[in-house]
Amino acid sequence: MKREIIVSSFWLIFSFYVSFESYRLGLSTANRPGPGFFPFIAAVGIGLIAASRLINGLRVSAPDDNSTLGIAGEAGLVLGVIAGMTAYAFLLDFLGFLLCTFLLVAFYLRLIAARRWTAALPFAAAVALMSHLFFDVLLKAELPRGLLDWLS
Amino acid sequence: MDTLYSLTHGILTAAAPLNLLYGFAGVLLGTLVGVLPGLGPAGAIALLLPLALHAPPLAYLIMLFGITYGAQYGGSTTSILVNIPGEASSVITCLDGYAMARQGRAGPALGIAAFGSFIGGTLSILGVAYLAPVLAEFGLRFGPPEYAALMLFGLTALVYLAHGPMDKAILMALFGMLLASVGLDPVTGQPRFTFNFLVLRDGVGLTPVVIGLFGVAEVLINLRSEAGEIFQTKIKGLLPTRQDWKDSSMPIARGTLLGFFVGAIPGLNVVIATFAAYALEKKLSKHPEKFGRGAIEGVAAPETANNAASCSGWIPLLSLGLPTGSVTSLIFGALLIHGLVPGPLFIKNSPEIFWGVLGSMIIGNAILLILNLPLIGLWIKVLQVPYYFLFPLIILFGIIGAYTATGNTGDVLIMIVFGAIGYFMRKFAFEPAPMVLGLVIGPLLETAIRRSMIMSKGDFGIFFQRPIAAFFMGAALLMLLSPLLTRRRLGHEIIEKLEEQ
Repeated sequence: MKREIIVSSFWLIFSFYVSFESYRLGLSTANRPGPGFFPFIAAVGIGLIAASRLINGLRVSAPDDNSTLGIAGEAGLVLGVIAGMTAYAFLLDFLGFLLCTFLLVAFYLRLIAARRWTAALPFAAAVALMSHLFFDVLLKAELPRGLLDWLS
Repeated sequence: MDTLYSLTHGILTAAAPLNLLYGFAGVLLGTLVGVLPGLGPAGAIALLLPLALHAPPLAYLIMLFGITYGAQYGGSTTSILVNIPGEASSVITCLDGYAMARQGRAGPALGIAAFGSFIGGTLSILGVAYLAPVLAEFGLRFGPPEYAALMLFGLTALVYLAHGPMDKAILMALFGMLLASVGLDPVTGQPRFTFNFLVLRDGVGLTPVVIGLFGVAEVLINLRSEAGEIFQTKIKGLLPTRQDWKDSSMPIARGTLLGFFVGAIPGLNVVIATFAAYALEKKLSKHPEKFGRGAIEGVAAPETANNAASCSGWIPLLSLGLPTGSVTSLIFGALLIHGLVPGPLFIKNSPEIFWGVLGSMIIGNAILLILNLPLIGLWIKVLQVPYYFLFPLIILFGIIGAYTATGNTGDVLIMIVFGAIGYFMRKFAFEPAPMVLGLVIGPLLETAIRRSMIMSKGDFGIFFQRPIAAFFMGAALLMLLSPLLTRRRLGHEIIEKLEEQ
C-alpha cells in the first residue's frame, strides 16, 4: 500500500499545481470558457481520482507491498541509456549525425551491453554509416553534419 | 455497385508500382515488428511518422496501414513456434498453436493462421467498404455537441476496457488531455504551460511523445531481456488437411463476423476480439476439453478474428474521425500531417485515399499470405538476434524520428522525457493507450466543448438535449457507472479466466 500512497500523492500534488496554474490562466465563464477552463477540469478530475486512491490506500490496512518492481536492479542500465540519448541530443548539432551515432552505439554496446570493443566498434561504425546512407543520402532527412561538414 | 466500382478502382490505384512498393515495405515491416516482442505496430508507426514529410500521402498511408495488419500475421508465428506472443492480439493463439507445434503440427497451425487471417481480413475490408460510407453520411448530422459526446464515448470505452483499474485509465486519459493543452490556446492565443520553452509553444508533439512512450520505454523495460528459446521442430505440410479445413471453416466464419463487429465498435479492440472468438469456439465445441491441447479451432478463430478486427477498427476513424486507440491515434496524426482531416467528409473529400487504402489492404493481405509462409525461417532467425544488437537500433531510429519531425533537438529531449515517463508508467501499471488518445483528441474535444458551451450559452444540458449527443453521453455514463453497480466490467470475467488458463 505504501507504493500506492506515494503514487497517489504525486498525482494529487500534480493536480493541485495544474489546477492553480489553470485558474491563473483564466477560467472565464461557462458560456465563454477561457484558456484555463479545459486544463482545470482535467486537473480536478486527476485530483479527485488521486484523492480517492490515496484515501483507499490509507484506509485499507493491507501489509506493505514488498514486491519489487525491479527498478533498483536495472537503474544503472536505464540511467545509462537515458544519459546516452541526452548526450546525443546536446551534441548532435556540434558533432553531427555520423559521429554522434557512432559514439552512441559504441557506448551502448560496450558499457550497457558489456560487449568487447572488438564487437562494439565495428558494429557502431557499420550502423552509423548505413543509417547515414539510408536517412541522409537516400531519404534526404537533412541530419546535422557538425564537425564533418567539410566532407560534404 | 458504386462500392464495388470504387473498391476495384482502389485496388488498381494501390497496385501502382510506387504504392505497391510502399505497401510491400509496410506489410514486411509489420510482420517484423509483429515477430519481435517489445516493438509493436504503434512503436513502428511512431518511428515512421516523420517520413510523412517526404513520402507521397497515399503511398505513405498504405505503408502505415500495412504495418498494422502485417503485425497480426507476425504475432501468430512467434505464438505458435516459440510460445511468445509478438503482439497482445496473439496471446490466446499460444494456447493451442504452441501445443500443436509440440505435437509436430506447427505447419498446419501456421497455415490455418495465415489462411484465417487472409479470409478474415479480406471479408472485413469488404465490410468496411460498405459500412464506412453509410456511417460517414450519418456523421454529417453531427455538430459540436455530438462530436464532443462521441469523443467522450470513445474515450470512455477505451478506459472501460483497459486491463487495469478503470480509475487509473481515466487518470491517464485526463493526463493526455492536459498534455494536449500545452502550447498556445486555440481561441485566445495565450501560452499555456510552456514555461517559456520555445519548443513547447506549438504544443507537445505527438511524434516525440509516442516514440518515447512506445519505443524508448519498451527498450528501457526490456534491457535485461534475452532472446527467446526456440522450440526445435521441423515445419512440414503448411497446407492444412481436408480435416483441418473441416474443423476450421466454421470457426473462421464466426471469427470473421465477431472480429468485424468487435473491431468496429469504438473502444473495443483486437485483443478483445481474439479472446471472445476463442471463448465462443470453446463454448460451441463438441469437445471443449481439447482446447488448450492443440485444437486447430483454437488457432483458426482468434487468428481470423484479430485480422478482421484490425481491419474493421478503421471504421470509426475513417467515417467519424474518431481514433479509438494508440495505433488509430497515430494514423490520425499522420493524416493530419498530410492535411487530410479524418471525419464524415473524409471519404467525400479524399476518395482516392480512402479507396486506395482499402484496395491496398486487400492486396496486402494477399501478399502476406503468399510471402509469410516461405519466410517463416527468416522470422525465426530474427527472433534469435540478441537484444543488445537490437536496442541501440530502436533508440537510434527513435532519435532520428523525433528529430526529423521538426528538425529540433528539443523534440528529442521531449522523446527522452516521455521514454522515462513511459518506463515508470509500465512499472506502476498505468496504460499508455488512454493517454495517447487523450493527447490526440484533447484539442478536438476542447474545441467541441467550448463551441458547444458558446452555442448553449453555458448550459451543459446541451449534451443531453440533442438525441445523438444524449445517446453517446448516456452510453458513456452507463460504462462509467456500471462497475459501481455490478462491481465488475462486462467481458472482463472472460478475459481474466482465459488469461489464467
